[in-house]
Amino acid sequence: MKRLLISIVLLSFILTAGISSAAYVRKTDTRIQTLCTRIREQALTNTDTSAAIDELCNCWQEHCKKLSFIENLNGVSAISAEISRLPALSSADPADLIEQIDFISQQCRSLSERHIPNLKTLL
Amino acid sequence: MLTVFIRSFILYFVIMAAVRLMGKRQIGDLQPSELVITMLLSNIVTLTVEDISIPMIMGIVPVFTLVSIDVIVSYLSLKYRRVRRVVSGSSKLIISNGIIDQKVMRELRFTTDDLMAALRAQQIFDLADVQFAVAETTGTISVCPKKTSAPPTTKDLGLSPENTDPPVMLISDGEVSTAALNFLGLDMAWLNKTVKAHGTTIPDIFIMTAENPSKYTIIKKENKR
Repeated sequence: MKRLLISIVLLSFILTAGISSAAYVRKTDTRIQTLCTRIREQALTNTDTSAAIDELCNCWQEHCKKLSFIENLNGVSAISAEISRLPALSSADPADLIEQIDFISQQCRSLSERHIPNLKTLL
Repeated sequence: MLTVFIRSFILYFVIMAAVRLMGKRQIGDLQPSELVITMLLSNIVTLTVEDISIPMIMGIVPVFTLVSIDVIVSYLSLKYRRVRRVVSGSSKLIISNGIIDQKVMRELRFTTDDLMAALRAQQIFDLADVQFAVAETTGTISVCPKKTSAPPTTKDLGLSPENTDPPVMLISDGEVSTAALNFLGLDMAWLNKTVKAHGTTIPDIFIMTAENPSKYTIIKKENKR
């Protein structure tokens, strides 16, 4: 009976932690996607993107620390490397910046999709 | 290198805790569900130990999820016969009244060699000596020999020996088991007196077993060279 109780508590804990982590990843990804869209729009209109890029870099740095506990380090490091290229691109050709921001947006989305159970990730 | 060492160290205790949570049955004969869990656990942990890019939590979560599910399924099996049948299957009679059920053997994909090996493992070398044999859910074969082939029991011989509990270990390598003392209804005073009567001390005893206060065995430690 004691084992059963421990098992039920453990399963509940794991399930709660899983739901919380999925909710956190989704929430942060929404923020990252919003920032990516803003940077894209600013690049298209040739306005200053440095503030939005800084915000995205800071947001990713915070997110990255938490992600390292629940995500494969290789995947996180790959996106970190791509994001670190953004400040240099802010003053370069907007086309390059748009290409880079689209790539980052897609990578971040696929990373967050892995944490939210759906038919694709489950199968 | 150091990271792998620390991860292995932590995962050792995680797996120990998981196996303890599963209970003693896991260490002995495995039910089908337990075998699956054991195989999965070893694979999950190996991956987490070797690949340091995988977070520890990704190894710990599946381990405890699987073990917890196993414990809950075991509990349901214990409570509901139907669940038990689905999870563990049911034992099958292979030999009944000395006659082999070939249909059951085919169902179990059990060869004649397997059957003979199982019988030999139980010290039965002639098929004619078997009254019935059952294939258990753990895969082992339980055999009941014919009464004519079974060794006579004290009951068959008309004897009535006293039924006693087997001896328990009171001292192991100089360490006293208070649980064993309590089981026999004895105390330290009796133990010290008995040990002293043999001209030795508790730390100098290798093994001491006892059935009751008057029936015990003492083996002293050998002198170190």
